[in-house]
Amino acid sequence: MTAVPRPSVAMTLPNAIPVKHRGAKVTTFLILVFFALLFALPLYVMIVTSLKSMDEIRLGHIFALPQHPNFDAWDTAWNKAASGFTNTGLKSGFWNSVLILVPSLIMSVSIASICGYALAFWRVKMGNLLLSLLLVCAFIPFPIIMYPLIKMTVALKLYNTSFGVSVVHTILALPILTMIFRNFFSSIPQDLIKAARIDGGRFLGTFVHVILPLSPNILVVVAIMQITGIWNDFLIGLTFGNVQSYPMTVNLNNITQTQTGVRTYNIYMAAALLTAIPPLVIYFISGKLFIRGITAGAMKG
Amino acid sequence: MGPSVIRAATPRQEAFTHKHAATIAALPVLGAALVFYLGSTLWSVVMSFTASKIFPDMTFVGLRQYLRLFKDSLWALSLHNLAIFALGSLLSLVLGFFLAVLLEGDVPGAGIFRTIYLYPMAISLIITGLVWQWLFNPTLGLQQFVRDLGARDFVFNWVADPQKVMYALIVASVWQSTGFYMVLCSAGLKGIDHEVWQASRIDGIPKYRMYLEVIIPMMSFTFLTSLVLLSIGAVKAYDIIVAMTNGGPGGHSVLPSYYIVDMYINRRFIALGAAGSTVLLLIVVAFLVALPLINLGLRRRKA
Amino acid sequence: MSTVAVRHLDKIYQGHTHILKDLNLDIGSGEFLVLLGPSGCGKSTLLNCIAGLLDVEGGRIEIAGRDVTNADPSERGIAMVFQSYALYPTKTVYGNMAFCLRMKKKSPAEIEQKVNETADLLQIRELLHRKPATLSGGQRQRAAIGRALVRDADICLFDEPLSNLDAKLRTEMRIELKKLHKKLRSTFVYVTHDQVEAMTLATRVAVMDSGTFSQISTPEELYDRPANTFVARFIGSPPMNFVDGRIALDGGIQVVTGDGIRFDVSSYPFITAPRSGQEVILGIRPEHLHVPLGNEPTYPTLLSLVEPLGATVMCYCTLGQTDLVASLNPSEVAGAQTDELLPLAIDLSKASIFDRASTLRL
Repeated sequence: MTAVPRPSVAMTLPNAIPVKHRGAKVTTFLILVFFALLFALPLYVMIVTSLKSMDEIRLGHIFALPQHPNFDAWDTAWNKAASGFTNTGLKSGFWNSVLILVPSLIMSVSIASICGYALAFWRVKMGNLLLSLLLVCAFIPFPIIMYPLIKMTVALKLYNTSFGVSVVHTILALPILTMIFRNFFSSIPQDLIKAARIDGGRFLGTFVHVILPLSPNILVVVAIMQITGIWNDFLIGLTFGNVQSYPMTVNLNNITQTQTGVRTYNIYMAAALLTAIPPLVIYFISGKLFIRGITAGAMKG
Repeated sequence: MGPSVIRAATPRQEAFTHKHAATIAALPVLGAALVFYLGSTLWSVVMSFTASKIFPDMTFVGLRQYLRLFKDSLWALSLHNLAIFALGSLLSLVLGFFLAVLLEGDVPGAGIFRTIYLYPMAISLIITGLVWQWLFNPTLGLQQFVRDLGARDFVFNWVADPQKVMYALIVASVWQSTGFYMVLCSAGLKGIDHEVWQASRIDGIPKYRMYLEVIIPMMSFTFLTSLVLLSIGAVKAYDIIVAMTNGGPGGHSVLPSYYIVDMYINRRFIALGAAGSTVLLLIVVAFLVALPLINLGLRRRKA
Repeated sequence: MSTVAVRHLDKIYQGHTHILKDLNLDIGSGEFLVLLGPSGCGKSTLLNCIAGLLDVEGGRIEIAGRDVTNADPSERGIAMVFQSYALYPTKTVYGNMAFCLRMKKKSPAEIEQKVNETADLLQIRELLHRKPATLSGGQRQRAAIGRALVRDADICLFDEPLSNLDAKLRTEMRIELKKLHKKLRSTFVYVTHDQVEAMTLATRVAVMDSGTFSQISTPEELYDRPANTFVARFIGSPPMNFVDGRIALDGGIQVVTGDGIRFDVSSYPFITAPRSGQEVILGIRPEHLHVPLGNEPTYPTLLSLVEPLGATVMCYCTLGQTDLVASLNPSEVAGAQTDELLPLAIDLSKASIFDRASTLRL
């Protein structure tokens, strides 16, 4: 006979709950709904505003549904909005963001994962010292390394380039990512590595053939973390990139900070939504993994 | 694999690579940490004692830049704002914990609630700042909405009010990060042995007492981690200021990171920026040292 | 009036898994009732239902005459000791024991007196100021028992409390628990999968199998007269030997195996009269096989393996098609060779006969 899982304490049927418990449950639910509405509010406002015309917006009914919803603002934002030096809308920013993201992702994940693997299983000289160093690095505030980084990227001829932005993103991600990989790999039984070595496996071979196949979860989690972080970044893209290669967030900010003329909130909101959609989509699809990704970043503390 | 044209590595060479492969793999990260982090930090600290303006100038000037820094009322204001912002950010943890506790019971649709509380994390701070600026808009946003409901004199323009603008930033920041701390607290709560809960039911301990006397102390690691992360977040805050207020009105929403970046990029005053950065680093170090000490002190007092 | 009465109890998990089926049980005051069974049989579930930690889908639970089916655990007049001790980790042992008394608004003096009293009873007085993490397994167990006992409840529930202890400690704690029960004279309801614990501690044992009671009796009754094959196999180590056969009613009552071996069971106290040709299982405990003395019917068993255990020797033999285990004295086995004949006699007066189809005792 198969073992029956130990039932949870909270198992009940409606008619078995004494009245006082039911009251508490209803209140709890209502409070949760209240906060859910609060949290959803800004997203609602963004969507609703982006579908209105400026005349409607000027009426000042921020929470009202659009009377004649249309995607004109979206079209302008994507194709025509003035973002600082160009009038070509967000679409160039979109592709710039992608161009920044892909190399960053590849470089940071590969360098960090192989280093994490080395630290987890192999005797690296002063490996523990390196780990402590990485922990320290994670706490160093960006402004203090910002200027020297600029000087160094200038010297490497990476300053003001899209690739330079990717390199900086990689550098900034290495401490935390390495620690995450190392912690994850440490949970893989040492016996597996030993068996692989007996079978003649070398450093790289064991990594590719034994470790990687066991790691799809952490790789996805790390990827989500990086994609969200890099896509949503503003300061690095602004500082280390050039006008043609500004990521979407910088474009967005330029659009909304134009000092001249009317503040066209419908276009701003549409632009904001366009910028927010890629990470949001990833979020809604990957739900649980996203959560694990965030807590992975936090657990190094 | 076909025959190799290149002469294969001798056994001795191979042993060398194999033995040191791990160290080689760790070199890029080690190099990055030493050069880009430690090296940069050192460079900035050194720079803060020089006369560098637009270009580095290695003339040693002692603590002159620091004096200049502390005479700058904007810097003092940014530190003041940092304290307010850090305290306000605690709300994320409190609210996150509260929501985590509510979701602990058998709540229908718990997954949906979690998804809704957490989605702001996926959104850029630039967008967060923008949408909350929109909501705080005096003529078109919340203020107008409440006025339309009848309260003709309702005032809610925190973004324009120098004394209240930091609260606006706090609201936006709390909206963004509460979900994250909820997830952390939920993980901490799940780690609590359910038999401890059962024992409390037999003992007849009311739930709030359990939280107060047993659960929250058991979660001290989670709370400590959260405090560390909150403080790092407060120190890092830059994007949201750019998007929401650009430091205004009148510099009343400037935080140290914003001040320093502005000093580097716009005011082109390297040494002063370096000085500010060093002070910021010291604040972080002080905080990281203080927290574990406080934690130890609390533990020793209890025992 | 029984202290704990379970009536027609049904527990259904997630709408379809019927864990407990129409259970009925009466526990008297001062009893040490053990719920015994393999994992998954529902014994812990039953205990949790009695405790009020789980709701029930059908039936009633009465404690001291009160219907407590819908009552909170803290209002049932019970105390409980958990398998993983479940001590409050951030409190000292004193704090753990005092917690529920504080909730009942007792004065600090009262609390101190009660806690010290209980601590003395369990010999943990010196541990009161320590936290659970600094205690050994056995000490934590005592602290957990202490926390339960300060409640002054008439009924104490135990959920496999000794499972997490090492073998030596388990034996010691078993004796302690027995002494404690004698001293306190309260009612203990105790869950375990270990039959040794059940046999040594219980005044009565309720053997459970897949959500129902297989047999509820004293330990001796369970051992000597198991009500079905499940109980017969479960109790006793090494387990009872089972021999398949048919009833033959020609000249007395006999059990005949497939290969023609006959066992004379005419003196067996049948509860139901056996029918000719009825398929049965003959159950013989290893210690009821012995080397024949004098004029008794012997059976030509073939010895295959010998396991000397010091005081006894475990002999694995075959009788025709059936495998048997015999527990013999070393002196009986001296000179016996494996793969050779070892004639054995059987004390059939101690045997059990079960109907093969229904598994019930005849």
